[in-house]
Amino acid sequence: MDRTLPLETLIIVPIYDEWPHVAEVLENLKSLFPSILVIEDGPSGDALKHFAKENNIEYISSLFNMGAWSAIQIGFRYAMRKGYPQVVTFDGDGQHLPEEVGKLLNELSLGYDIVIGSCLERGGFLRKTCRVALRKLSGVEIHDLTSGFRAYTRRAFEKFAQVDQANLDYQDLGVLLLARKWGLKCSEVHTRMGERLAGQSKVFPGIRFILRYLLTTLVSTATKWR
Amino acid sequence: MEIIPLRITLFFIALSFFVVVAKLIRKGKLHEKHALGWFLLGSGVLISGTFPHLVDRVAFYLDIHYPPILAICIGLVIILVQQLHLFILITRNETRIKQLTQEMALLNKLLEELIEAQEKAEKQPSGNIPE
Repeated sequence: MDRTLPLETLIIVPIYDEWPHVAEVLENLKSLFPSILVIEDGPSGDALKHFAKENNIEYISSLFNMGAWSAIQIGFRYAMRKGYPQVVTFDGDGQHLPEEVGKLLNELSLGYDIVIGSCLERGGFLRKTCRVALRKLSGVEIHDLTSGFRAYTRRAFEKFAQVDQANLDYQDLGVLLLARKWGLKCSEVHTRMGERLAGQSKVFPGIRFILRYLLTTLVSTATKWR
Repeated sequence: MEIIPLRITLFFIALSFFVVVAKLIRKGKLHEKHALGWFLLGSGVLISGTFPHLVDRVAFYLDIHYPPILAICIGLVIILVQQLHLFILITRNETRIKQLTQEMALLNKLLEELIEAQEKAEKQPSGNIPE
């Protein structure tokens, strides 16, 4: 049933508190891609589950809220079980556009392990400064470090599925540092992004959080250097 | 009012700490692998509390001019090391909980798929099952 199309891509959509806005996003996605997996990060009623079932979308819910990255890791594990050769992580808040997934997959087919869909126009001054500072410090040659719109090959997501190896909170710089350590090739393509329909940025919800995030990332950058 | 000698006070404080540790070990509230450390710590507190002059002696040989600081330093080091050890354990447990939660979510999903497939097979028992 699941192995009829071996070259299929699994779209992983981690969701936290985004019902019902996510419905539209998922419908748009489903019209373009056959395999979609929604991972609800923490229990929140049956509405999304029913919606997924009606629309033939795979649905997993996590027992506790453990962060977006942990939800994505569940998706990686699922993809490993089902034998998907590549996955795309896709935010359910309306920022990522289903039409742009193709761009990531094209770039991935050029021989990269991870492709980041970046949009440098978004975010305020603080966020842009923060991004530049992190890039300079880490020496990672990617401009949009916090974009959650990424494509992974099997070689990459199999490694990132291991919790003890990749125990992160967000899909951001930490992932890229690990990729460098493991010798995975990263690339970046420019993608258009839509307006956020619901919720807040997973990485940057407020100033206090930004500072904490910046410090945490600095420490992990320092410790994961080469 | 009569003055209670310091030694007696110290002895009772140390003894109560030792007794609490011993009771916790006996009831199994402290795991056996931690028990030895706590037992040694309790014994150390009991000995240094009962014979405070031992601390003075050791401090003298270590060229420490104010002996109580020795006891305080030892105590601080023990607390710091313990704290570090605890944080290592917390981190390890967090990772394990994450692994378990993820694995459970995945197994739940696979189980649901299995049940669905079974129900489907039961509904249409014709054709492909050789009998």
